[in-house]
Amino acid sequence: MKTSGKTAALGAVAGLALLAIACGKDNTTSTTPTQTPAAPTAIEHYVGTVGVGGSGFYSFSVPQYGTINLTLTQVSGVDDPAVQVGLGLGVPSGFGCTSSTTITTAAGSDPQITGAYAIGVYCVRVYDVGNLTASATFDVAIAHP
Amino acid sequence: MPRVFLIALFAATMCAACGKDTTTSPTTTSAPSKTAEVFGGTLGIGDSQFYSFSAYQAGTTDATPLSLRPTGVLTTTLATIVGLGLGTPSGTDCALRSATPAAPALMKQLSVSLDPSTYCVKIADIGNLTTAVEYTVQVVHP
Repeated sequence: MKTSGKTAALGAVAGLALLAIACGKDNTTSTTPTQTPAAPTAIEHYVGTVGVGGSGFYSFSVPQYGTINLTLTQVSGVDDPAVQVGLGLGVPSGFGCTSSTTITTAAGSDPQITGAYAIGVYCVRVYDVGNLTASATFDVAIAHP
Repeated sequence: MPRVFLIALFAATMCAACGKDTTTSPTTTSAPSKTAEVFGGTLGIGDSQFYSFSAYQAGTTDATPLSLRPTGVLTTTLATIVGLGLGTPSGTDCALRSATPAAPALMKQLSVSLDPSTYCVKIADIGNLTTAVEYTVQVVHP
């Protein structure tokens, strides 16, 4: 009787130890879902003029998580068509566009700014970084979902 | 035997408690906090300007033209009616979803229910300006 009582007690203690180890552990494997950004399906062109020391911006909406490609395709009206200007991507704010990504670039055929962005309203900003000696006309191709 | 019984009872209690994380769900709801932004500028004859803001929660956004006065004159407020609109920045403008003629007043004159996103308030001369004016507009949004 005494022995069986000890056995029962030992069994109960072992059970408690197992419970203590198991308690609080949720044996679920969590995986973070990865979302594939949608490819661009629309292209808008921001054609405008930027003066010496000036800037301009253009807003567009992205209806789903996806890739935005900005390509400064052309700068004209200046002596040097390879002149570099500022190109930015951001969010309309106040009277302007608050850029989160910027680059100083010349016109080209490949996207100068690209990235995956959430649903929202974004803006492209073109600005003189000090290289313009006269107003320049530019064309930015905006590809987005 | 009683000792075994007590241990078994304790184990049963542990089993009952195991896996239960006691959480208290908040039951109180509060109105979303709002942000007031005041912007201003000079509006010329036939001109329009827009100001962008981000609403971080769903809720009602109110726009109020606070003042309209001749350029450089601080003591006079005009009662001239201008266009006041609310919409989404689009291209080089603000694409309006709602607009109203409005004169300066200390009460909201445009109220729109919006989802979280980026929006714009636009003020425009609708043909009543005879000279450039300085304006201030308040937008209150979630």
